[in-house]
Amino acid sequence: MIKSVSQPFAANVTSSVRVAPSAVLRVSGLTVDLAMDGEPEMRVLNDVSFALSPGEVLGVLGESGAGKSTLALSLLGLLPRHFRVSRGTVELGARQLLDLPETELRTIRGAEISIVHQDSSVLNPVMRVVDQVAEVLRAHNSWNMRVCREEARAILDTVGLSDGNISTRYPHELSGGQKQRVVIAQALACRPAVVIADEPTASLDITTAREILDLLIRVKDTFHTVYLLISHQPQILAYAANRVMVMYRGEIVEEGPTHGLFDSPLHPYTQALLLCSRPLQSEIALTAVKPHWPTIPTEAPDLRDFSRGCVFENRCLQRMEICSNQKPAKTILPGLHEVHCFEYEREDA
Amino acid sequence: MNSGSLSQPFLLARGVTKTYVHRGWSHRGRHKALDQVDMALPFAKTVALVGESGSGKTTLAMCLAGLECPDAGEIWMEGRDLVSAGKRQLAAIRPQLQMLWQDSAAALSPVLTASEIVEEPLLAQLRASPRQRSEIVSDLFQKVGLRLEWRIRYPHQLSGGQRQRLAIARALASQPRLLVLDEPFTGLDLSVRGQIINLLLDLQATHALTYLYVSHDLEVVRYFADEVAVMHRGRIVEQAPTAELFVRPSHLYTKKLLSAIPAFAGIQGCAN
Repeated sequence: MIKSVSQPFAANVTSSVRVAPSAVLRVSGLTVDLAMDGEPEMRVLNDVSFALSPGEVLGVLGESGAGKSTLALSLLGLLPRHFRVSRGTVELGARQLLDLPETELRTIRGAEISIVHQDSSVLNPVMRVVDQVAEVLRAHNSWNMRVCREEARAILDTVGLSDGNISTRYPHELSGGQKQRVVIAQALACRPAVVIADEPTASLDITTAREILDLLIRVKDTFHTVYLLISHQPQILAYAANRVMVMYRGEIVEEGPTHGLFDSPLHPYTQALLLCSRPLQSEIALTAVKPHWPTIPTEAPDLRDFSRGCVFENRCLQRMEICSNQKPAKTILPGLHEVHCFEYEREDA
Repeated sequence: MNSGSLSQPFLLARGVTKTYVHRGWSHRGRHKALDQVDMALPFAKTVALVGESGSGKTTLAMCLAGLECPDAGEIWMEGRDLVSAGKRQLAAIRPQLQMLWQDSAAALSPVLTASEIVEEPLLAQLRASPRQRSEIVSDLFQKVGLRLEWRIRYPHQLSGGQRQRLAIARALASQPRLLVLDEPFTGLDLSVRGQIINLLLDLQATHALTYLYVSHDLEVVRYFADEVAVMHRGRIVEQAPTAELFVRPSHLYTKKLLSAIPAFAGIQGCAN
């Protein structure tokens, strides 16, 4: 049953992505480098490939430095200076986003692919929230401001901000959860095909976070959109995503359906990370000496340290000799669960 | 209020009250941040302070760390009252009360190197030669698990976990008895968070440190704290040993707070 595919390169990537051809967004072999003046080039994203099918919520799980935000920005063509896409393609519908000139990208950004940032400080402090949503509509439609405002009010209704005068308030008059709803309204305003939600609940307390996730799931079908949901918290993705990919040091190490991945993680990194997310309840005994909280030894290597081998090699407890010399290829296991680890390639042999 | 302390209290607060007065141009008002708070911190144990934002957790933590002066009440530490203590007395006590902040990047000076940051409290408190100080710094680096070659790095050149270790080393330099931990694990990566939790537990055991741990994260509280104090609207509504409080919460607000823990059904059993 276990099948190993060769290291994907631009040519055979499309064949190895086994999602229906109707994918809304398809990313193939995306590689991003960061070149600061006078410093060696760092590879921030390495050969990232995935596809988003209609109606899907794809979760991206990773710690800081995993490349989650770089991924989000590169899909929007918003990479900061010094960053460069050195390989790969991003297909939105029939278009290659990376080849488009900035003028054309501007018509797509916000209208067909949009982003929800983690921090609602992206809102303009001196503008009423209804106008901020209307502004997005205005930028992508030929409607006049009155029509845009009406539409904006309707969208604010949908995201749960229907209370009387809430739309005419300023951001500082709203709670954190309400502000995040405004940001979501902005992202959804033009009914984009893809919404990238980059840690949309990071600054919220746990109860509000759940409300926001419920909202995102609820409006997904109303707006016929798909989400790329980025988070560092496994429980957020377990709650909201259909499929999850785990990133580490700019590479996807594992991808699978949410339940399969969280119930039986395959990659040593995913296994260790899930252990760290909360200790085993049975271990919190009432004894005087506490057992140690699970950790992953040392820290992730510096991005400057190019590794020819597996990215997790230096912290991995199941490390083999091959791990430091060669990159593990993708192994596809039953249940569309994919993992990049020699442990599973060996079983194949 | 203080049911079942585990040992002799190291610090005892009685009737601590703090009111903030707004004298802004747009509105004036009084906000009672702390209302007659009674609290005991048992020696060399950890008390977690939980409650929603705005309940007064940070104000209480600042008062107990000697950084904020209450309007009324007493804070007793080993036979001395911090509230009525004079400036000079307080200056002698303060090094023993150290804080560890959530955002280590903001709490550490960006223009000092790692070793200078740890050395600074020594300059203020010790009469020691540069060489002695450097030895103490090396010793502290080793205690918190920082590599010596990182002495010359600036905070921005360290990772979040390393910065939090550096902040711990700086706090230890003053030879504290009480550490106030204000959400020190929140910004950290999951794989590194455990390292810092374990380090603080080890240091507590070896240095007999008393911890006041301010947090939202009830999962970590359950593991990390010996006792939990629940704050609601400037009052402590319940304080009990952790196991007891999680199993049999007595106050209505505590029950409400605890019911929010499995907020994400679905992950239950995933990590296990």
